[in-house]
Amino acid sequence: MVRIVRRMTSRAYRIVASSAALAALLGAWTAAARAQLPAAPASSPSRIQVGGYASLTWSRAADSTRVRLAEGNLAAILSGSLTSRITYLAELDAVSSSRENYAGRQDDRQLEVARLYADVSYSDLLRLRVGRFLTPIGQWNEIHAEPLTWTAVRPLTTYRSFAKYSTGAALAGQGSILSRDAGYAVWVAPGLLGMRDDDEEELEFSGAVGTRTAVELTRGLWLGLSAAVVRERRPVSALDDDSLEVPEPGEDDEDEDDEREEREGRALGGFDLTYRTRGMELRSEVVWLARSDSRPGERAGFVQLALPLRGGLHAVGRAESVTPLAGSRRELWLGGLHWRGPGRVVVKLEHQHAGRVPGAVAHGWFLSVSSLF
Amino acid sequence: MVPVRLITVLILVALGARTAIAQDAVAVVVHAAVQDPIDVATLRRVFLVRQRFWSDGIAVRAVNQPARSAVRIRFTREALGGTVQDYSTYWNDLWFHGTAPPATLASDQAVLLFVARTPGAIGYVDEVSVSEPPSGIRVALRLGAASPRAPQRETQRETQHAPPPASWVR
Repeated sequence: MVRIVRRMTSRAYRIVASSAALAALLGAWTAAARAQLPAAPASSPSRIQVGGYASLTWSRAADSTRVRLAEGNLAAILSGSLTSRITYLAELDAVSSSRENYAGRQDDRQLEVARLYADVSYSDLLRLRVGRFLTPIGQWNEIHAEPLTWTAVRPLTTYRSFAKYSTGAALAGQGSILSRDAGYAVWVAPGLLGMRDDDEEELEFSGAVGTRTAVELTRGLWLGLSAAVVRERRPVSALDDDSLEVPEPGEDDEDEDDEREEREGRALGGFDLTYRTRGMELRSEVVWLARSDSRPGERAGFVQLALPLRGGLHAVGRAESVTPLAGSRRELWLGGLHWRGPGRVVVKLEHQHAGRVPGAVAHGWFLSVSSLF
Repeated sequence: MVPVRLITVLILVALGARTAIAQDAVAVVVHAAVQDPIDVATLRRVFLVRQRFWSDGIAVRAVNQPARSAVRIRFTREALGGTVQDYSTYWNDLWFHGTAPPATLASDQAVLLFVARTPGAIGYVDEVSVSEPPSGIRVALRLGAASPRAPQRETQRETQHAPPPASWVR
């Protein structure tokens, strides 16, 4: 009975979330077409700004002929400034399902506060952020909204080894070094003991401290470096047999709790590179996550190229390699088209090839329609 | 008859020349109390909302002109590099982080009035609008001016590169 009610709730939630996302998309498209606005939002500094984004993604797995709605996402963003030095941001996400996690998360649904923080700026070089924010590791994670990314399928590199969100505090700033822009962040996420949900599907930090710095090396070329020590709490599905992280029989004799909740901190390092010129963008991100023992840690990285074709149309290609903590290396290949339409509507069509044992990661065809509003 | 035609031609030429100057030169204006030196690199940081405070701690209050105005197009090309549309992705990315682009005011007069009355304000206008700068305003820089300022033009050309990633430690 409980299962039936839960299934009905899940189905109703998916329908509502997907319908809301569709309505938001149509609304954004219609408004943009009617107003003939430039793509950039025309707004002014204010105490309250309301916006958000919506997306719908359909997929057809490589081993199937069935096209299904893979994800409907509706996010509301509230931001503003209380004074010239104090700003805030809140983001509430409603996701009908998600591909961005461990395998088997087909029926997941979320209604969550993705971000909730306040910034207090002392100067451009020193800003304090307190609350729940995007973990400053790599570039993709900080700009992960569907209308803002080149592809509908997110690289595993950008979320598999660390929690996408951190709750804690960060000091950050930006300035100029030798006439080149540069920025830094130092953050700490102590973890919120007692507030966990055993059914949680997201990888969470149970404690983490890290730093990130980014600098413009030369015209059009930016380099970012990230380092952290993290203790993670992995979702149950991460231990499932069909997870990307398939343990060899007898490889680990620790119990499940030990697998899910790390006792020791692991070192994490990463770098990201972006080169932009004439509408083209080359981007690469790499992440290493050490193991507590002497065995090799998790390694992941990708190289992605976006080339302008004509109008708002770009061709996008990506190669990614992931070596999980347990299991062998996986290679992912993605090719597709990305079109920026009127207003802030973005349409993406792509195919990801996942090589052998494709069930554990997103593979096949993906079509996504998304928009900021 | 001939003098009338000649006068007409001269008037048209003069108007044309004035228009050419108007399209060519952009004056960057700041509130009189802003003492920071303004160069193209500073303009880029300020108008991309990467610099939010002046050196004396006063908050920067930058104002734009309408996206399709000649002065905005000229300013974007000279100070930021590229076109207004080139920056749409950048502003969309910043919007995701709750950061809006500088507010837009509709005319040179509105910009001058705002800058004169607002501590920390910075804007840009057609150069002809500040031939006699109103009180409370300092003309901090001229962009894309005629030959006497040609060296500036070289500096500006160097800055014409792609918009930076907005995800840069936000």
